[in-house]
Amino acid sequence: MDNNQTTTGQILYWVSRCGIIAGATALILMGILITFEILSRAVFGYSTLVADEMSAYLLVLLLFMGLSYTLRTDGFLRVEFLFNRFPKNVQLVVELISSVLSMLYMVLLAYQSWLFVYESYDFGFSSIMPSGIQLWIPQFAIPMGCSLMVIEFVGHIGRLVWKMADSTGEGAVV
Amino acid sequence: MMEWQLTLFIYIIVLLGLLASGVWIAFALALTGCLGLLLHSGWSIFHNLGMINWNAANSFTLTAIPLFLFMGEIILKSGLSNEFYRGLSVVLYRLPGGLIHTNIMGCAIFSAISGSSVATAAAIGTAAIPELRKRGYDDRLSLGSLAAGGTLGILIPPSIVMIIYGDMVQESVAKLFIAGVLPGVILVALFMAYIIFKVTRNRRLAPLERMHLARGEQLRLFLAGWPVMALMVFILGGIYMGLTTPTEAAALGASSAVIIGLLLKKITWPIIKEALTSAVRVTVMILFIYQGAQVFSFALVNAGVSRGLVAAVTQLNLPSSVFLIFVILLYLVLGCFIDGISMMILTLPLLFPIITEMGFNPIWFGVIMTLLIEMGQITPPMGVNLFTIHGIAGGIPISEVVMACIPYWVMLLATVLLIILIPELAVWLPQFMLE
Repeated sequence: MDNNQTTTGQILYWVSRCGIIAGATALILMGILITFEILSRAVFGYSTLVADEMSAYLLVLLLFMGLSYTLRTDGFLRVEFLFNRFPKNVQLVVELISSVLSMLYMVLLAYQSWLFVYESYDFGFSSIMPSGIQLWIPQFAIPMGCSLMVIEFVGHIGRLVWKMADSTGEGAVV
Repeated sequence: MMEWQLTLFIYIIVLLGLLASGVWIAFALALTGCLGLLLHSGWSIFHNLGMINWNAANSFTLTAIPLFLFMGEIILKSGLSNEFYRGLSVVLYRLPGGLIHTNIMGCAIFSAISGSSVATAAAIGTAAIPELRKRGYDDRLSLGSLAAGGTLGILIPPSIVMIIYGDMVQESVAKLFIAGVLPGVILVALFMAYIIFKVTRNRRLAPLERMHLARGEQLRLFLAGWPVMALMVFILGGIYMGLTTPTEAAALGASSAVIIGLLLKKITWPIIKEALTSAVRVTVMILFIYQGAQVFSFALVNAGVSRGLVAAVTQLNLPSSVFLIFVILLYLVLGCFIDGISMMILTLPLLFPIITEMGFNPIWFGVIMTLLIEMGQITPPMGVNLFTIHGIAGGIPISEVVMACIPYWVMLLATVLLIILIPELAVWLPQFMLE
C-alpha cells in the first residue's frame, strides 16, 4: 500500500510539499529582488537599499523550509563507504538509530529557536539595516522549518520501523 | 574542566564514529558539537543554538549558491548546454583528439557559469558521450576527460566551494573567484596537452575528424551556443570589472538564463519547477552541513580547542612547508571518503586559525584547497564526478572511469605543487580587480 494514501502519509506529503513550495518561492523572490536592484541601480541610479538584507532573509527561509523536502527525497549526504558494506538489516538499524539521534537534534534546535524568536519578539529586536524590520519575522522561518522537519522525521522513522517490521513479516502502514 | 587535547580527542572520536556509521554529515557535525557543548558547559549553553543557526544562514554571500545552482539547472534542462557543445565542436575538431578537446573546453566554459563540478560533468557529459561513442572515440579517453574536466566547475569562477570558503574565513569571494582563473587556464592547457600527446602516440584512440558541413552551417552551429558564452561574459565580466558582486552576478545570470530559455522556447514551467526544486534541495544539502559545522565550530571555540591547537602548533615551530605537506596529505586521504564541500567545512574551523597564524595568504590557500577538493572528486571510492560520468555512460565499470582519471589526478597534483612554488599564479590576477 502506498504510504501517501493514508491520512498520516497525506499529512507528511503536504509537510514536505509546503516546505519545497516555500523554499522555491524564496528562491524566485531573491532572484527577482537582486536583479531588480542591479537594474534599478544601473538604469535609474536608484537603490532599494534592502535587497542584500531581504535576500539573506529569503535564504534563511529557503534553507529551513526546504529541510523536510530534502529529508523526504533522501537529499542529505552521508559517508557511504562503510554504510554501504553493512548487510541490509544492519543498514536499517543503523539508519534508525541515526535518524532518532538526528531527530533529537532537530527537536532541540526547534525548541531553542522558538525561544530565540520569542526573545526577539519580546524585546522588540529590529534590524540595524535600512529596513528596520522586526527580526522575529525572518527568524520565524527557523523554528517553523525545524518543526516541519521534526514531523517529517517522525514519518521517516515510522517508515523505517515499518520496513523493519515488514522484513520480519509484520508489516504495518505508517 | 577538561584539557583541550582530551576534548579534541573526544570530538574527533565521536565525529568519526558518527560519520563512519552513516549518520548524515550535517547531523554528525551538529550532534558532535552539541555533545561537546553539553560536556563542557551544560544545558544552558544550548540557548545559543538559535543564534548560531540564524547568524550562519543570514548571509548575502551564501545567497549566490541557490542562484548559481538554479542557473546551471536551467542551462542543463533546457538543452542549451547541448547546443553549446555542438557549437564548440566545430571550432576544436581539427586538433589531434578532436571532440575530446571539446569536452575539456566545454567543461571549462560551462564552469564559468556553473559553480558545481557535478553540474559541469553532467551537462557536458550528457551532450558528449552519445556523440563520442557514435564517432568511435576510445571510451576511457572520453570518460576521463569528462570526469576530470568536470572538476574545473569548482575552480573556474563561479565556485560554490569558494563561496562557502569565503564566507567561512571572511575573505572576498570575488577575489577568490578571480584567483581561480589562472590555475583553471593552466589546468585546461595541461589537460589538452595530455590529450594531444596521448592521441598522437596512439591514433586509434580518436578518429580523424573531418567536417562535412559547409562554412555557413559551421558558423550557424557555433553561434547557436551564444547563450552560454553570453552568460559567461556577463558573470565573469561583471565580477572582474567590479560592476556586480558574486551574488548579484548569480542573480543576473539566473534571471538571464530564464529569459533566454523562454525567448528561445527552450524551457517551460515544468522545467523551471524542476530546476527550482533541484536547486533548493542541493542548497539545503550543502548549507545544512555548513549549519552543523557552525555548531561544531562553536563547540571547538567554547572548549578552547581552537586556541590550544594554534598555540601547540605554533610552539612546535614547524616549517610552513611541513605543515603544508601535512594539509595536502590530510585532504588527499579525506578526499577518498568525504565529499569535497563537507571535507572543507569539517576541517576549516581547526585548520584556518593555524593557517592564519603561519602567515599563509587566505586567497592562495583557498585556491590550493579547491584544487585538493577537485582531486577528491575523481578519487575513489567517494569521487562524485566518477559516479556522475559512470551514471551517464551506462554499462561501463566504474574502475574504467577511475583508471581514466589517474593522469588527470597527477596533473591536478602537479598544479597544486606549481601554485605552492609560484603563489603569484593565484594571487597575481586579483590585484588588478576593480573595486
